[in-house]
Amino acid sequence: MYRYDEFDHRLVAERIAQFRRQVARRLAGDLTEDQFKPLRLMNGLYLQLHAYMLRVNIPYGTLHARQLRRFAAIARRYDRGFGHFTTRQNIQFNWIRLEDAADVLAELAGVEINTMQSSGNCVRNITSDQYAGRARDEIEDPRPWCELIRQWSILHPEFSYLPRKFKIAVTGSPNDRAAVRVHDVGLRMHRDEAGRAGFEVIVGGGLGRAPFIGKTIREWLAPEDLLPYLEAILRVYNLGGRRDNIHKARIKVQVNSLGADEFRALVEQEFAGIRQSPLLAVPQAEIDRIHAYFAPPAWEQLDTTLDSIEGQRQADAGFDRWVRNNVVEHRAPGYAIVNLSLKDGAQAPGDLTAEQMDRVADLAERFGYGELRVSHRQNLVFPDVRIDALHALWQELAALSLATPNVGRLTDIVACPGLDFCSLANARSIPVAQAIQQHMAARDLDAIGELTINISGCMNACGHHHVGHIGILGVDKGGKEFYQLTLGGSSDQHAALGERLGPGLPAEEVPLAIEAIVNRYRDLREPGERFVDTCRRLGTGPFRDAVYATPATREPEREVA
Amino acid sequence: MKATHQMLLASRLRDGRAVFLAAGGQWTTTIADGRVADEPATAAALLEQGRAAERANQVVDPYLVGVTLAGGRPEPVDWREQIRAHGPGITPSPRKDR
Repeated sequence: MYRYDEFDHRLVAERIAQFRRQVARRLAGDLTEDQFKPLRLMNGLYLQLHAYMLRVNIPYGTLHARQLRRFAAIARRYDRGFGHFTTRQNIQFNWIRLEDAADVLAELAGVEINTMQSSGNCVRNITSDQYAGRARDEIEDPRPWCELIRQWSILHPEFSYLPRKFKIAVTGSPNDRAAVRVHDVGLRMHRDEAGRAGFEVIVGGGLGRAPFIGKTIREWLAPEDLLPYLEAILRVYNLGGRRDNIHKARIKVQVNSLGADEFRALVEQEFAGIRQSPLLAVPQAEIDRIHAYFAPPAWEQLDTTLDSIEGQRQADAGFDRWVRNNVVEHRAPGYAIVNLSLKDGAQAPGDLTAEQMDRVADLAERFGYGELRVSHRQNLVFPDVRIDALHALWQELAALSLATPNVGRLTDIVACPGLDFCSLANARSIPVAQAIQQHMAARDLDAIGELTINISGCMNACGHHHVGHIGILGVDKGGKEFYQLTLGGSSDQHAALGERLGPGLPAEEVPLAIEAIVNRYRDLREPGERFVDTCRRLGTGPFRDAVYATPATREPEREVA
Repeated sequence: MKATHQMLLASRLRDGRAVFLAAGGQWTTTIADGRVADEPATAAALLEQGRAAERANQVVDPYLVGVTLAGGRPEPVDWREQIRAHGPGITPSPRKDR
């Protein structure tokens, strides 16, 4: 786990004191909304359709049980008894009162959590692989580097007023679970010819209304050059990114208008200068100190494997299915990584009640070392579960509706809050996700195999619809909600943007369309072929025919944006 | 459905709740208690009242919402405003004690 040092504690305490005074001045009428809005956004406080929403950073998705318990307490005392985990590994509280907001920040600070830079045109929460430090395919735990970037980017004076928000993701594994190719900057650790771990630097990826897959501008960057190189990228963006048009202000637009080669040349030129200065040369002792925070726990010497619990698995088909879908191999013998599905079909994707939070925190301590992770697919992870304890954990999780065996399956749907909460949304996301989950619940999801569905309620794409195997985008046409489908997207190491299937569908037809697509896939797939691979092999044509074969109330074709 | 009447909707400053301007000039979270304007001049007066309340730091972003009066009960025409009036339409519904 990361730890606050004396600077963090002081910084956060000062910020809360400032915010408390700002709120008081706003409530007293000494600040107008126009004056106050940038101040509240700097602290992650949005004004949404029903209330203020507080976005809370969970650095690189790593969380401790005591922090989750604090979230539960906040949800009970200051909210309506639940929280929502997001695609940026954060948590959002939907019903915060302005008059309580500073108290909530103080509660969070007590467990080393803050909301700084969770909004605004600055470097946002650094995201990473939810299996970091535990994955068997990993080269190195990326989180110490995430933490270094966090410390560098918090209140960085040069980068506090960027043209637009800036998102950085880091993966330490060749199998990308952090979606690094669709971030403003993505860092992928790999080894050079000498066997030394460094970073591939990918720039200008992003979703939203103009989606792009990032471009590699450095094949391999030495770890000691990480901050100077990031500083160079941010400087080139800060100086050259567009500020005249909010829709063209992200770095992806700059990279794609300059071209990757020219952008790279500008960065390398800045980098050469920055590197001369000792300012960003982080002493090895400091790097070692940060690494020590993420040292693995003292795993016991065990030799249990997933095969050696075969008896339990054969005796209980439900347990076996959960192990196959929700449990992942761990780098330490005798241990497993366990995914807690927040997609039971009853609660909104990514939602957790205060009661569940408290129980999950207890289980994280009982079945591990108190550590948890949040995944960008809106699930939770227990990183260190003894294989011989899996069956007991499964029973506990099932009692909390958190053992749905669907991780990576069709019903493991990512959805933004949509028009049920969000003031930017054009259409609802959560009810569409729930309708698909319910419609497909009786199907043999394992026979369908790996299939991701991502739903966004507007072009801003918080639900990452462009990179779902099936993407669903809600649009408003003449006061009615329609949903446009894309196929073939993914955010992994083979990242691609989905291709639009055709005119949008009314909400009630979306589950039927998903079913038609899945049925067509099952007819067309080669043995062992995943849905996304069938899409990429055959294109959208066969699926378009399947969905649009039956006439229905379509979105007016000519109005399609 | 076309709007026949208008109401004034805003966010209450202190807690952000969606509130309608009521007949007595107070703000209410219950749409049925909100004041309904049946002609443009009355609607304009509502909006002016809302802007004054905004200047007085009671509410944020007041705007007129088109409603119908089926069975005498006001109901917004747009989805977005229906959701603001009644809360998120998700199941299970979030507790409403705060």
